[in-house]
Amino acid sequence: MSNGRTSTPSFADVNRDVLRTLEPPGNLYFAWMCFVALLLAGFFFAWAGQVWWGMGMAGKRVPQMWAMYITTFVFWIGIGHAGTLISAILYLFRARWRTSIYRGAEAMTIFAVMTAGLFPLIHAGRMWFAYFLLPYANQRYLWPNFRSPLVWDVFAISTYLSISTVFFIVGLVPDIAALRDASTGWRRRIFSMLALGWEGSDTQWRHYRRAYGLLASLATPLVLSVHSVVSWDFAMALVPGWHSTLFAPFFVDGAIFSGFAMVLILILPMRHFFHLHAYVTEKHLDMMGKLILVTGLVLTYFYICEVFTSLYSGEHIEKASLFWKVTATYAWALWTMYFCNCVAPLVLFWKRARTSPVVLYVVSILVLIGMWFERFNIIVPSLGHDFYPYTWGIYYPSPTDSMIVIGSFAFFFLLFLGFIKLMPSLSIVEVKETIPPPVRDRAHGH
Amino acid sequence: MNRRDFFKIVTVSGAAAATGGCQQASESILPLVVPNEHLVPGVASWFSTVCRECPAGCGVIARNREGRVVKLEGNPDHPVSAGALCLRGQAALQGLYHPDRITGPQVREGSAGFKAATWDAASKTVADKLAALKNGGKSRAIAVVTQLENGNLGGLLDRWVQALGARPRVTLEPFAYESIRAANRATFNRDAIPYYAFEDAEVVLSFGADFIETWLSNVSYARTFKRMHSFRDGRAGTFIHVEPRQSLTAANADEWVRNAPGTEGLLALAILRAMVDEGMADRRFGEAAASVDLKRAADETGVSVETIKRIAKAFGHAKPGLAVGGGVSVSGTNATQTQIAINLLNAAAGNVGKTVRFGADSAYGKVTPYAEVANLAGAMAGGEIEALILGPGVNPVFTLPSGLKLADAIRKVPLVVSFANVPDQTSELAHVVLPDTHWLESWGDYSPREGVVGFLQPTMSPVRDSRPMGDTLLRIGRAALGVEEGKGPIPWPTFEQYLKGAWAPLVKGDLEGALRRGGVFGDVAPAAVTAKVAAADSTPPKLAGDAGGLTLLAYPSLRFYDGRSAVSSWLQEAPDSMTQAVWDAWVEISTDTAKKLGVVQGDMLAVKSPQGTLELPAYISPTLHPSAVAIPMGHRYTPYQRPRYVAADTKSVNPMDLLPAVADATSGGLAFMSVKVTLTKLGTRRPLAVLQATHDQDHREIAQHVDLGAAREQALRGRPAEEAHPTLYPDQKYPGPRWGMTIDVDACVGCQACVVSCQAENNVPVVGKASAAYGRQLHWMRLERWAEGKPEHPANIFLPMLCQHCEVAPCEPVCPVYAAYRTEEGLNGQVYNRCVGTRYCGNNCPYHVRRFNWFQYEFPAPLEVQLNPDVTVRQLGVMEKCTMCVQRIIAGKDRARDEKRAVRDGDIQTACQQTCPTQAITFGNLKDEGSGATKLTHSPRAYHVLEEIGTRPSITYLRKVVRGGGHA
Amino acid sequence: MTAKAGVGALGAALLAVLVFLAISSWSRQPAAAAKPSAQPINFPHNVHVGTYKIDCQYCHSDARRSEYAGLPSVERCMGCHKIAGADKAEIKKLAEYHAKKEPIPWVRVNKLPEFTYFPHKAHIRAGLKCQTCHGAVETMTTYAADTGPKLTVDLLNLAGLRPAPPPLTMGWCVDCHREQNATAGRHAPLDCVTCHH
Repeated sequence: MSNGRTSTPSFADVNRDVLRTLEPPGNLYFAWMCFVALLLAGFFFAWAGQVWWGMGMAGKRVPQMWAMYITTFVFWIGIGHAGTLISAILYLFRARWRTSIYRGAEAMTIFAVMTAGLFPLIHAGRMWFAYFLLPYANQRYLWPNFRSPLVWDVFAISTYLSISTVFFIVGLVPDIAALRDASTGWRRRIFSMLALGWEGSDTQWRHYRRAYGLLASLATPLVLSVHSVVSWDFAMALVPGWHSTLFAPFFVDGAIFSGFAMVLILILPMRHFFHLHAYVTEKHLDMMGKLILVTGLVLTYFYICEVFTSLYSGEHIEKASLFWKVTATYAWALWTMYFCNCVAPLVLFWKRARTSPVVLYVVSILVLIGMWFERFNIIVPSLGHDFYPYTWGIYYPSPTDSMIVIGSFAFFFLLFLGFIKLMPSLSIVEVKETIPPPVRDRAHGH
Repeated sequence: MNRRDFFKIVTVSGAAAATGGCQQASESILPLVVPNEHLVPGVASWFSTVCRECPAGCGVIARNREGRVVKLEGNPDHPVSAGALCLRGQAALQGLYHPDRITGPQVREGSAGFKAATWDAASKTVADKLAALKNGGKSRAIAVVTQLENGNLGGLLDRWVQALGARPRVTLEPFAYESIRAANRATFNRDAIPYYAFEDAEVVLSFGADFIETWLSNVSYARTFKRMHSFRDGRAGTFIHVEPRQSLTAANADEWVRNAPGTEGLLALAILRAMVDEGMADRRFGEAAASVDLKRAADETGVSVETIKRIAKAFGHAKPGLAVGGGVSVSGTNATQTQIAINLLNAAAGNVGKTVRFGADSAYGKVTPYAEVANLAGAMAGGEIEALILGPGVNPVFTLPSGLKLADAIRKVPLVVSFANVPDQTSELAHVVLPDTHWLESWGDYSPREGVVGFLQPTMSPVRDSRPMGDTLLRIGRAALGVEEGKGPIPWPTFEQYLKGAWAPLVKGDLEGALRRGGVFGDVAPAAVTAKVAAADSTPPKLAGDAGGLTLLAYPSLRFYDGRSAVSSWLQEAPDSMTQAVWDAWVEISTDTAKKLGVVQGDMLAVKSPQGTLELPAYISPTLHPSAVAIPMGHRYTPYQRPRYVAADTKSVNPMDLLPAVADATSGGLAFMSVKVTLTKLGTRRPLAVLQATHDQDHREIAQHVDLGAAREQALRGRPAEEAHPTLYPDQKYPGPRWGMTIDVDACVGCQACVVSCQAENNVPVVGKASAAYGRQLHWMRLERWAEGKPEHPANIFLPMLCQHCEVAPCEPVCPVYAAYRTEEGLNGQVYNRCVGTRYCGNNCPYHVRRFNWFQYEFPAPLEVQLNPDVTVRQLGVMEKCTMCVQRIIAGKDRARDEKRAVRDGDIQTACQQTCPTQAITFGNLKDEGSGATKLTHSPRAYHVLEEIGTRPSITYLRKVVRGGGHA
Repeated sequence: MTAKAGVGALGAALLAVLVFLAISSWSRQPAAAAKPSAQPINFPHNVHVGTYKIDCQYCHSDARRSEYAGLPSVERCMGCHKIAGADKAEIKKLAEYHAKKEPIPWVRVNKLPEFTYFPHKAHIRAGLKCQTCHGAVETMTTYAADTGPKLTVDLLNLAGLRPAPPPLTMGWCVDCHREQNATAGRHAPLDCVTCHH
């Protein structure tokens, strides 16, 4: 029942449909893999060159000592939000529609944070000394500077990564058991190892639920903390355009906004290629659409606040910076951002748009572009026209910059493509919970 | 064993090729063979000598570590420089350690170019030729050309010339100020260039004399000018400058008057006329200016009658004033007439003997007249010269107008011997190169003005296989004469012995003392002169070339003088203060011209004169007189051609290639303003590397000024105190001293000496044109020019900007590893080996004075020998910045502890402070109420840059004091 | 599974740390300690310092006035060895150098990283014995310093232990300075830029 939009699927269908996603992939899949791997090769090549010859290979300069690396870093951290939001917060709020998407979203979270985690290394002038940032007793009696937002980042991100990883794996256990039952040969052996001897007995379920709830409530505050901390990298600095108390909520909202967009970008193709319309129904798309719309509107509100504060402040340098952003060299980037993040999502006011995969897909892509440019606009133009006119300057991305930024997307998609073929990208268990219990005679596999 | 031998034994040098955090190779240490109490490895020893980068002859002390000179400083005892040194002097080290320095004697092998030879072989070639000529009765076919050598080297050379019966020696200086000499002959009947006592003048009226850049003695006159001009207890002199182009000197004027090129003489006479009319000058000066009608003068010069009258009033009332003339637009065919007019002004205002002092005459008076240079060129072209001997520092092919056709003439000479130690355009034409030792490796003496004799002594052993010119010529001369050592007219075995013999009467037995002081300094009785009043002719200069064209102002640059300093990559990367451009040469055109041609900055222009064509990128200047174009002299791409530094360009950028060989009618001196050029747009671009994004402060009050009246008011009553910025944090405690600095913006003339001095002291690498253009220069200190008022007539403020060592430093809290931290002595420390390179501090520094090592920068051999062993050479990927010369602070404290005392004010001088000709920078302990720095921080003119951010800098600036008129 | 993941993550993290430490301690490693054979002349400190009780600064005479302790000039060596043990093989080598007026190419033993400045002068002024830093030289046949940070020390630190830092490393310097300030009431600087500038 591939296109089971109308009738609800049975438990058996669930197992079959989900496990079908794990069948040996086709040529299209491999073509994608090769393409992605190629980009990744370029990524490592560029990075190696930068380590060997120095940061100068990237287009950074005075005053833009940060540029596209940090932009992309914040972008990926942002993407990393939706996953835990969906799986943890929506779980605690018992939003049942989350079930069929949260697995993919969680995977996305972990991979996004892993991708983001590369950038502090790529960005550091002497990455081989990056361990100076770790607080460990050493024979030089030196400690990191706990006043520095960068050190906060180290903690925030590593915590977030570990918690979401654990959360993800716990969520997987019952499904792996299902895989185990469905698979044979070496796969079976591996899965049974990973399933940790899951029986589905009531005691196991009781413990499992408790653990899951506990982790969910642990993960929830992190969703908010991580991006707040990342936003302080900027808010704690003096730079006009950065030094704003607005940043924490502003960043968190933006993160969720882009996160959901990315979820859609990943789920919609899966839905199409794996014929999961029965599980990722229009209801889901509608919900996601609404969330994007809401977060988009909130973001628009923050943009207005940002402009208002710098105008109302009467602070000459603050204003000069704003006017320069809006009118000068980088204006195109700013207006792209406004269009993608404020205007484009408005179509989602219409239910027909929210339920049309094509429209959703286009909007999501626009949102991602817009959100990348948001970070770009915060970093590059603000630095380019700050306090000191002598050093005002324009940043031009170098090939190294571009190869590494593009390569980071390759890194992410490589991981995700691998995931959808190795693990059930829908939660079998929770999907089953959402459908009426089976009648005895049709029971098998459970 | 003498010092020379000692230097040959090298002890291990800490800084050689040091890069933080890299694997150390096992190395060996070489102890001395014989102990030497004067030179201890790890302890600096200082040798005083004389800077020979230009004829100003400033005193220098060279800091020697482990047998290598690592830093130059001005000699405080020397009357000319008084401890200061200009950027060219600072950069002399790069000539000493130049990668392209000639490695030994060379002989030309036909067209194959040079081939290394032994000293004996090379000398023999020359000696044989000379002997042949002498015995053939053609000794007159031998010519010797040197730079201005008025000391004993000159004396020895003249004896040598006599011994061989050669043509009289020609001393060649492109800027010989012959018009001043001729004018003084005419007016004061004295063929000399006097000492101009700027320090005693109330009003200085300069007609194009760029005395802060190259005119006569830039360090000495910048210093004395500031003594008269900078605001001190309520008083400050006035400086009026007349020039078609806003030069660095013009930018320092209280009133800059833009005149039509070449009309300075007319203007001077007009002013004289006005003075006479106002009854401020003796009637007898009236007839000198009788021919002048103010109205007509105003039209011709483009200076309004009111301005002329105002200047006349100011100058006439000054007690005393000083009028000086020079620079390119006063070097036309009417140069001497202009100088006569200026002399009359001085005479009329009664300045002669007060601010114009004959007696202590400048060394320039001894330069061979250009006429004889021209004769020599003719003789060479005519094949009369068969042996030409060129001393070091002379590069006539480059520094004289191509109209002289000197290169062709030299090619006609069968034997050309060059003593250059770095290859240049002239030594390329030589047949034999016998590299002279660099002046830092040589014995000698030089007298910049009467009564002052500076001694040169070797400060280290020769870097390359080079020998003193004197020694080589003595050997060759004797060989040519066929006499052996100790006999004949030139018996001395070495120049050193000749010199010490000649010094004996001078030093009266205390040679050591004289060498320590740096020479023998005395005063000479002033010579009384009387002015002869005769009508000065005020006809404009004759200009060759297209009558409809623009007047070419080929001006000597502060950085390269006539080009002999251009080998230094430090100077190439030290920005020109006005344009803030580095590395490349440019043609400066006025905004109107740019509009007419439809060019923007960086567009390539073909500059065409009858002599030839130059292709240069355009620099568009709103200040330049519309009838002129200006090209700086001395730009050469000689600093070792490396793609990383600058794209190699074989095309000439030398304005001399456009000039005809025209002489000033009266004095016979070389006329630099002698041709009109036409411009055509080429359509290609070569963007300039301009370091300063904009000269407009955008109301941020970075460089502040206060009106003279207000300054007086405040000096008397004190400034109304602003309330301190409220803070939640307790004041920082300093157990020991708190180091701080004050920079008097009113005293800064923007000469860039501090920038280069800092680069030399702190091992700051050179990044090259591309990187510099892209905001990646590494200077720890930069010199900013901020312009206010009308763009075509701006008031300029020069602001040295370096790490402000903020008490509440934005860079510190953001550094994740404490690489940037606050020391307990109030410095903002930077620990290179702890830095990870997140560059967060660089973003958060509102002054953007933090520098990042984008690449692993190189110090091409042997330049790495110059590296200061007390300062770490930074590795790629780390942040660096001004440390307030912490190594000097540590050394100072160490010295004090040795003497069991506390550090006294003035014990410690930063590199920038030490070299500043106008003493604009003061460093000291801010906790010590008595220290000079603290006193200045209490000045009513004190302010902090970007104070409103609340960073509480340790560096305090003092506002520039402006005179209402000048700052339109 | 979670357990496994935990172990895996921990292992990975640990590995990463190890790699970094390895790189770092490698990058800070000073020149290898000299082997007896490495030195041009086999110079026995124990004889000079131990047996003949020659003061360190008689030979290393720059220590009191310079950043470097300095080495005795060949002349100074010959001062004694014109007579003393002139017949010994090693001394003959010395005499050769002296005859040729050549310096002796000693192999450097104590080498701090280039970004670290250690002025002997200040420490002599403070009255330190050379042995405090350089060990019991009077017992050494060939002086060979065992210096530089050790990976093991970092790891022990990581494990929460507090081993004594190896000689001539930063921790070791800091320990002494702190102790001096605490006990002897001195003002031994602890400012980074004092040694790193």
